[in-house]
Amino acid sequence: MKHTFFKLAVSGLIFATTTFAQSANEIAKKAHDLPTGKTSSGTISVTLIDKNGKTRNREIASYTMKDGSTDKTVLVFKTPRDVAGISYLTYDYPDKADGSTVDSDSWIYLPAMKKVRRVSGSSKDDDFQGTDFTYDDLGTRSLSKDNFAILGEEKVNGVDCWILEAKAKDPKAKVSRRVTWVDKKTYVVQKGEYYDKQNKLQKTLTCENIKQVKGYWTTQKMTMTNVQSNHKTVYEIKDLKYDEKVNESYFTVSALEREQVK
Amino acid sequence: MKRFTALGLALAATVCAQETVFLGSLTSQAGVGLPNAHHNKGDFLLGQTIFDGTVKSYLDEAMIYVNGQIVHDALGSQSTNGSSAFVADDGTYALKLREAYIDWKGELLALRIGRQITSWGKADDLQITDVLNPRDETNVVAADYNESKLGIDAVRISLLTEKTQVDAYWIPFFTPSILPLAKGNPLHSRVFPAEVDGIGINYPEKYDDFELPEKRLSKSELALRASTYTSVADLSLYGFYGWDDLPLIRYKPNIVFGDGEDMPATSYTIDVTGEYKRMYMIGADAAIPAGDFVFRLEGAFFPKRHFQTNVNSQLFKYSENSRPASKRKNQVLGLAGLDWTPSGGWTITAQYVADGVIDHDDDLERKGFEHQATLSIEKSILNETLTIMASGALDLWDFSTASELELDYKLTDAITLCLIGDLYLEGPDGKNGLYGEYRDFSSVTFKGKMSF
Repeated sequence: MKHTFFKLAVSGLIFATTTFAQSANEIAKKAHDLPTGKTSSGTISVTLIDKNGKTRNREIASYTMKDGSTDKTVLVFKTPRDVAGISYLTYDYPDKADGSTVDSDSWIYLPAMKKVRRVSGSSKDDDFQGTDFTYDDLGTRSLSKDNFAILGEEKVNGVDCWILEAKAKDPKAKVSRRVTWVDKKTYVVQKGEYYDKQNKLQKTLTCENIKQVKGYWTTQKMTMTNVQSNHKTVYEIKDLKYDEKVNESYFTVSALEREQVK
Repeated sequence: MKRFTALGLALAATVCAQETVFLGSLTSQAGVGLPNAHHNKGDFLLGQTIFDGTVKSYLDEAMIYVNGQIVHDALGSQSTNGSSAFVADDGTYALKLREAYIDWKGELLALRIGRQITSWGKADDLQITDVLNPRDETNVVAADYNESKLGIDAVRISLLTEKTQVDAYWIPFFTPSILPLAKGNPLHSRVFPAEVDGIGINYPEKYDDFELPEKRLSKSELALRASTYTSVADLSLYGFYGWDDLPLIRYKPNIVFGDGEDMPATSYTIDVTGEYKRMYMIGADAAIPAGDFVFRLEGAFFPKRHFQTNVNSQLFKYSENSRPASKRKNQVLGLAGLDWTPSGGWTITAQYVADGVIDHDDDLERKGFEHQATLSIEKSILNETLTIMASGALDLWDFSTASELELDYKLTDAITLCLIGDLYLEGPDGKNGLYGEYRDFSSVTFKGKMSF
């Protein structure tokens, strides 16, 4: 769950297959490697809206920290109240030199069980807590998982963008193809489309409130709409702080178990 | 006066500077016996309304945590162990202090003082090394292993580094499990029958009718856990020196010879008493992630543990002066488990657990070797508004089974409605095994919970 704050998954591969491929890979890599600060903290507000307009809300405290090449993230649910206190700790590692991915180390703390559980760190294409975002959508999907191509250019949100296609190499992947509009100047994603296994449009992404916070490009509001189920998730970040002191002990299993992370 | 006002304002400011969180829930649940529950068929086996409140208050590196419950029990099935709950005489109301502690964390050391609940081990809903907290044993209908845990009054000192944690516990006061002593409890007549084969049983009526350890320093409990968390595996070692949470039952014949006048006939009854015994445990566990899987291993060794002797050997095999309520044997417990989280919101867990008593003999109430397998499948759908959980345990010796199907529907973010079916079946040839004796508690339960 690396870089939870809206650094969308656009990743590249070394092998070029089209005339645009080299620059597609470069664009993907630059978008992937956008700086996000040594630390960050904030409150994530998630609103789920069903096809009848009924809404449900979640509020999550989020802390991130870079520790060498490892990205550490702690998420603590504040609301809804029945899941308050459920916490996740994740260590994300960079790809190996040969391009293969390294599974994250992940733990979940369940207050009702008073127990930290080790959880699988490999499933990134699952929905994030019932939202329309997957863990991959909210993190930095590994560059080695997709083949990239540039489909064209278009203006979105008033800025010139490349239309970047990321095709999953895994034929069983839930999302077979991601198309994102990447700002030519900042490499920040402006919108996106996600296609299912049958290559039918499944989800659309709109990005708003894109601004620099302490010098880091940040998307403060994203809306993911599942066009097949008419379900929508609005994901906003509040009280965002970069490069401010974060209690390093928060990023430990014992802090989760002690319910120390506020 | 001004000075007191200033002091008051200063204190108020301090309190306001604290971050205080209140979490509450109100649960109402009713369970009724299924057609295979014999005499319990159609009877209410559960009827509770529970207000649960938790206050967490953070001040710098310290935290105060308090969790308590007010319970109304329509069946009058609430009991106490003398410390975990204050219960009305008729068992209809209970006031429970589940946890209340002060927690402080320094650079390397941490301290937790007060009533606390801790989970040991990697097993799900099975006790291998998880011996620290006693349990409320008064309910089997829609029961939750974790919710049944009782807080222990303890001092915990921890040594913390980035990847390791060492916890040392001193538990000055022993907390026993809560037994179904209330007469309104559906389990009561099963655990404490009034008579067997026409012979009256004089059983304990209150928790302190059992022989509890004295409240002395020498009767304290001690525990130690050392854990490390790495990319390859999470590993823990455990040690415990304390008391077994359940009493060992002593059966004693009580014969009053008739004198032909006031008491014309000889009466024969059995007096039942119980006592708690020391227990030692060393154990270890591991959780090893591998792709979509997490493998779990856990083992424990209980040297010279006291095991209950059966009623027949107590009454008929031994003389009155050498009638043992227990025999000491070594016990080994082991578990291998697997968690699988494939795509699509599925969670599948499977466990195998083996439990052996070394040098077992026929005087013991339990078998020499017991083993069972468990399987749990959980799936959330409709953007996690509906969760379906199916779980089961198969006793691999006598093939008795326990199974549960639970549907949880989130009516709103705050309100969850649950339908829970519990089915206990004997093995072939009517063998009770591990679960057959609960057959009469097969039930269906409806539960509504609001969190705020």
